[in-house]
Formats: sequence, structure tokens, C-alpha cells
Amino acid sequence: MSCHPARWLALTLTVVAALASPGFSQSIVAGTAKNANGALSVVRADGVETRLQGLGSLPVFEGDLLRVEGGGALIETAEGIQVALNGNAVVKILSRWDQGIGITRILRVQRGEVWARSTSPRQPVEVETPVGVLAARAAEISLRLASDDEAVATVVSGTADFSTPFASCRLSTGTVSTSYRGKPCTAPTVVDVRSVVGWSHALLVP
Amino acid sequence: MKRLRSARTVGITLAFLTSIGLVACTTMDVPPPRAQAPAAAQSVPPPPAQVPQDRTRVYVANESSNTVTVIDGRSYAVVATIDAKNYATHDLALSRDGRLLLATNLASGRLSLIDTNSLEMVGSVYTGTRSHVVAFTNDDRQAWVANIAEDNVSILDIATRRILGTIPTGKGPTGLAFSRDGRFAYVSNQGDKTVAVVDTVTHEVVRRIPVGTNPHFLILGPDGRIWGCNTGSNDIYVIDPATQDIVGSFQVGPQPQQIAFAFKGLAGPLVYVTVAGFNKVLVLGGGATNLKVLEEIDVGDGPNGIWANPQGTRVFVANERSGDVRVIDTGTSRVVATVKVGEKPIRVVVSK
Repeated sequence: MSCHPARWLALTLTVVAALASPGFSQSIVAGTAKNANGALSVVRADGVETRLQGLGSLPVFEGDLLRVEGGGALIETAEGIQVALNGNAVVKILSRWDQGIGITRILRVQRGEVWARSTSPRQPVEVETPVGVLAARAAEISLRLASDDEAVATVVSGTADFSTPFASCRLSTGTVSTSYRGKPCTAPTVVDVRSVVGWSHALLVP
Repeated sequence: MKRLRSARTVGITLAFLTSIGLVACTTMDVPPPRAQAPAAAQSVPPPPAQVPQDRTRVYVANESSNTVTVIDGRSYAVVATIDAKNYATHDLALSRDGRLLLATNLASGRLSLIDTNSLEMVGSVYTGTRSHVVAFTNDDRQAWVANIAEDNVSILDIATRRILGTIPTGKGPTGLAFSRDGRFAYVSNQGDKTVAVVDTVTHEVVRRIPVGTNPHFLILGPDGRIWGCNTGSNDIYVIDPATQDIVGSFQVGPQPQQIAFAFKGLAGPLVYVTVAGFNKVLVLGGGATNLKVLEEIDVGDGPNGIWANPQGTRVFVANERSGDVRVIDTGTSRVVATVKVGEKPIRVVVSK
């Protein structure tokens, strides 16, 4: 009995596993910018800049810094998560790798507001700010950085965890919580999400 | 009907046997499992308790190899070399239970999370540009990482591996240590020539202590004070958390790098400082307010990282230019072993 096919299979799986192991560099495509109402400036990790105005298909890479100049911008991550950035947003595209879990897409907000919609539990997304992180799967969320010391998290649909260095708050559909530096997140309260998502939905490409 | 049923049974049996054959084929190189011990053996009383073995491990960050070398703390044999799967592995921090090792990677801006049981990298988290040093909070629930190029500290939640926030600390943070009670974090800022005192409750910088040129490494000493090196002005200094002032300083020579504490017989804890410009470890006594040189120990080329075993009888020194770790017997002040590690070893930590 020959076992060569099995060995080849094992070898192939090993190679695939090796290729799937984490490697983080500026050459990894993280998504595509699809719409910029105004302009979206993309600063690559090596400092090179490029822009998108209007509809288009501009690749964004791990480590890119996205800066919106008026209006807003829409990107879709490689995992299929829709992300909208408001008019003055500055966001870095990042990721985390965990053994047994894989890649979690991370959006680090330096300024402005980010909206994100994950349609599957296999699309984990986290939005980081200096005072808290909003983590979700299969949910529609928004995070606004009011200042370096204050962030406002909203869940439009689904559930999400808003974690600060001092506490974690579970948010459900139609609730909002705020984090202030040096304090736990506030208890979730009900909010009218239409005002929160109106600007982002306007950016969605039909 | 009976015939049909028996044909189905034969089919199922064949499928079963085929699947067994396939499994046997793919696992044919694996030795067969050992025979099960008879159930009666379970009633045999357990063997008498043995003296616990010393399982001290030494971890070394090799910046140019992007690896962590694992050394047995008793035999000094290299147990493993772990790929950090990032670039420019620089600083290390070990959880109190020894199970989780964190490694900063300067060039990647990422933290590698290493399982010390399986000896592999199990997570990679972006903290910030030029992530330099890392320290666990006293409760091991968070790790703080200083990002030189972002002038801040990132806060990692150990359980979820999420970055919970950042704290602006000063220009070019390069050293990080917590007070004994965990109430304050101390962050040395190369660009400001200061140590920022961060209130861990409010996350505000409550004081900036002027220090020397190129302040770098910080560590909590056994006296409850914060000890630091000014790599540019060739001295070390001691901050008392009770007053948040410098209570002692001492010129040690060119490019002091890091500090450890150990005993020489009855004497101690003594201060062991790597002085890269001399290729020596200086042994200081006299306490923070009356420091004096007791001994100078020749080590390898470019001593940088230094850490003592929990008993304070051995000191491990990483030499970044000679690419090895020298083991000093503090009783005799002699180098008793040289362990070849990776390229440019920077940092050493030893399990508690």
C-alpha cells in the first residue's frame, strides 16, 4: 500500500499552514477604498501618499493612515467589513493575529468618527481610540472620538463590547456609552441611531 | 428485505474499514499507542512526593535574529529558539506565573505573545510605531507598552488582547516600570530627558522628574525605589515613589544599559549594572543614597540586558555584540558559563 498521496497532502497542508502564519508588512492588502465624498488621502507606511476622489477602487494596506478631507469616505476591508469615515476622520488600518482565531481587523481612530458594519460572526472588527475600544462581530457600530480624552460608542444593530482600561460595557442595539480618560465606560443608554448612521449610509455604494 | 439490510451492513462495514485504512495510512509513521494499563493499576498508590525541580528559565530577546532564546536556568542549555514572527525583537516581560511572555518588536511596532509551554508565538498585536519596552501591571491583567515614535504608552488587555487605550507620556518613551503598590507608572522619555510619573488611577502624568541625557532603562528595585540608567550621561539614578524625587545617583561609566539586583553571600541586595562602554558589569553597594563600586566583572562585548535568578545567586548578562549570555556566579563574581544565543541580544528576563 502506497501512502505517497497522504504524505503529499500532509506536505501541502504544512506549506499552506506556513503561508497562513502571521506576517505583518505594508504589502498586505487590508481592503479597498470605494468612495470618497470630498477626498480620501491614504498615507502608506513608507510615507508615500495617494488619494481617492469620488467612486473608485483604491487598495489600502496594513499600516496605512487614512485621512478624510471633507465629506466622508467608504472602504471595504479584505474581510468584507464596510467602514465609513466621517469628514475629518484620521484612521490607521491595523490587525491582530491570534492563534486559532486568525486575523481581527482593527481601525485605530486618531480623529473623527468611524462607522462599521460586519455581517458575519467571521468578521471581527475593533475600533480603537485613546480611551477605549469597541469590538463587534455581525453588528453595525459607530465610534466617535470627541477628544483625546473622550470617545462615544454606539451600537446600531447587534451587540458589541466597549472596553476601557477600567471596565467593559456590553452594548446592544440602539444604545450608546461614553468613555472618559481615567474613568470606566458609562452605563449604556438608549439612543436614536438614525442620526448616528445617516451620514454613513449616504456613502454606501449602490 | 433481509438481503438488502445485509448488503447495507456490508457497505457500512466496508466504508468503515476503508476509513480506518486511510487513517492508518496517513498516520503510519506514528508509533502505535502503548497498551493500556489494566484498570487495577489505577488503584496503586501514587509515588512519594519528590523534591520540586528548579524549572527556572532564562529568556533572551535577539533583536537582529527576531527571536527569543530560551535557556534552562540550571544547566544553561538552550531549550528552544522561538520565532517572534515580527521584526527587531527588543524587550521582554514575563507574567508572574511564567506562562505568558511578551516581546516588543521595534521595527514592526508589534507585541508578540509567546506561550512558554508550547514555546511558540500565539498572538501578534500592533501597539504603536517603534514599540520599545513592555511591562505587566502588578496584577498581570494589563501590559503597558512604550511606543517611542508615538510618544505614548499603549495599554493591552491580557485576557482579550485588545488595546484599551493610550496615554501620552512625553517625547520618546524608552523605559517603563511600576511602583511596588502599582499606584504609579514611571516612563523615561529620551527626548524630554525626564521620567514621567503616571497615576495609574487617572492615567494622567502627575509629575515630570528631570534626569540625565538619554534616559533609558527603568526597574523597580528590592528597596521599593525606581532605578534608572542615563545611557547618555553615564550614570544611574534612583527615584523614591514616596516623594517622587531622585534620592541618589552615581557615575558608572560609558553607556550604562540595564540594572539587576543580587546577593554575594551575606552582602546584598547589590546592584549589578551593565556598562557597555567598558564591557563590564559593575557591582555597586551602599544603598541608593551612598552608592560605591565594589567590583568590576569582565563580560562579553557590549553588555546590555541583565537579570538575576530568583535566589540572587546567578546573574545573566546579554552581550549584544558578542551574541552570547554570560552567567555570573555572584558568590565568586566569576563567569561560570557562556551561552551562545541569537544576533544582538538585548534583553534578558528570568522566570520568578
